[in-house]
Amino acid sequence: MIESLPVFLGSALRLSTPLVLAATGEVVSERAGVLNLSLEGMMLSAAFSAALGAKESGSATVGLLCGVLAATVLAAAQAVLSVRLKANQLVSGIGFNLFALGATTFLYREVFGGLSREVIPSFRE
Amino acid sequence: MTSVALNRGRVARVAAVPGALPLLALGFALGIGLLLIGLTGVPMEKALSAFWDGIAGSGYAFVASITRGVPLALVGFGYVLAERGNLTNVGGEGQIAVGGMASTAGALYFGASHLPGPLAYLFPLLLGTLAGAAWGAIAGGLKAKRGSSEVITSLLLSFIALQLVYGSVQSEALLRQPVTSSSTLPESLPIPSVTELPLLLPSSGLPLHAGVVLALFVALAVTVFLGRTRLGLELLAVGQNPRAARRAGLSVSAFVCAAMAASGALGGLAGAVMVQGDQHYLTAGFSSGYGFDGLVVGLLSRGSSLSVLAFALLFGCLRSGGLAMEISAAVPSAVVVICQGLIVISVAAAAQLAKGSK
Repeated sequence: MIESLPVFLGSALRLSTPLVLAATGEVVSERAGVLNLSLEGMMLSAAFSAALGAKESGSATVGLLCGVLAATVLAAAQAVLSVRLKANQLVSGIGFNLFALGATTFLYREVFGGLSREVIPSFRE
Repeated sequence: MTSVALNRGRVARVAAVPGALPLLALGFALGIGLLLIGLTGVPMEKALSAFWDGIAGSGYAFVASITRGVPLALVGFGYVLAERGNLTNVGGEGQIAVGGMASTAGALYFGASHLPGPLAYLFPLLLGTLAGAAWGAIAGGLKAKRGSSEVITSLLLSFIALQLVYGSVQSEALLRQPVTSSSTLPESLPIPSVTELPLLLPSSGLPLHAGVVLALFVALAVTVFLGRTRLGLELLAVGQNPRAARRAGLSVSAFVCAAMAASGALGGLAGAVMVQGDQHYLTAGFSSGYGFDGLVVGLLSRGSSLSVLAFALLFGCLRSGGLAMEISAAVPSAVVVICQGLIVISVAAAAQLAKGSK
């Protein structure tokens, strides 16, 4: 029991990392008065772009940068809608989530093929 | 800045034509959809004919598109109802889930099949509606008593409800059919046929069930309630200015609870209609995103009952067409999800452009 504690704590820490990062982002946008409902979509599109970037370049770092870039592009589009066009933030957020879900599913099938188990370069090595 | 101003001027001219902006938004989204189909390398003709066959290629397909729109419209009206009180019910998916569970339980185990005449299917419908109302009232009560955001609570309650459905069809003590072999699926028994919603055209063999009439009735009821009754006006007052409403002697917390309950009731009814009209048994994940699509229908309609019906029909058709395109032309149905997302985004942008230009 007690010997599995470090493993348990380690995996809790590992699994909470994406939550901490995403929630920090949400706090920043909420401070600016934007309800960012499309965090899910941003994470999805970033995950896909990171996988694609890492696969194409063979480098995990390039993949990471691609992921951040993709989410930033999506965020910029949402910023234009929320701030410049003053669109309803709930509506646009849901729209971006749907769009990202569809786009990543579609591109995944087009790029990697239906049931790919391809291993991409990671930070482990 | 000038280019933005110019664009707004142009948009203003387009926006002067009624219905032009939503149509433009729709056209834009469908155009992108065509482009994506082109990318997959599937011949355009094949994909489009599969899409059209799925929507209205046969009487059966057309009826299926309409009945897919029914739960979307019901959830959409629930959203509109809550929105009038400045409340946002995003929990349609969970309300469908509890509604479907209650209606299945009623049809199978609470003796609904022994009830005379139409009561046999009305009783499970009522149970589903009440379950949805209770689920909505939790979010409403938390908002009224503790000030919790109903957006967050109704969303999280959805995930609980989805797991409850999953749990209830896993256990024989609850709704699972008796396990007779290792291949018995974790589903409920099929509901007795007297508890199924009656078909409107039984002689034609088309599965056009009474849920369609129900949706039209709800459309009328919600329109009259919001536009023509005192309670509807009071709900608007509570939503617009709770402090003034309280001074005028209205109980704000009662209105918040009741509005969320009524909104949830329509979600629960949608779930009951899905079980008793289309699926006839309960299975995990039976709500399959209808609650979230219904939320989008409600969001896009901006309070207009006709728009709710139109968007519900549109999204029902998109679902049918997307499925058919995936099955018979091997185009990923994700294309339809992308189109839905683009419709939502462009309608959101266009609505504000039109408002800003007036």
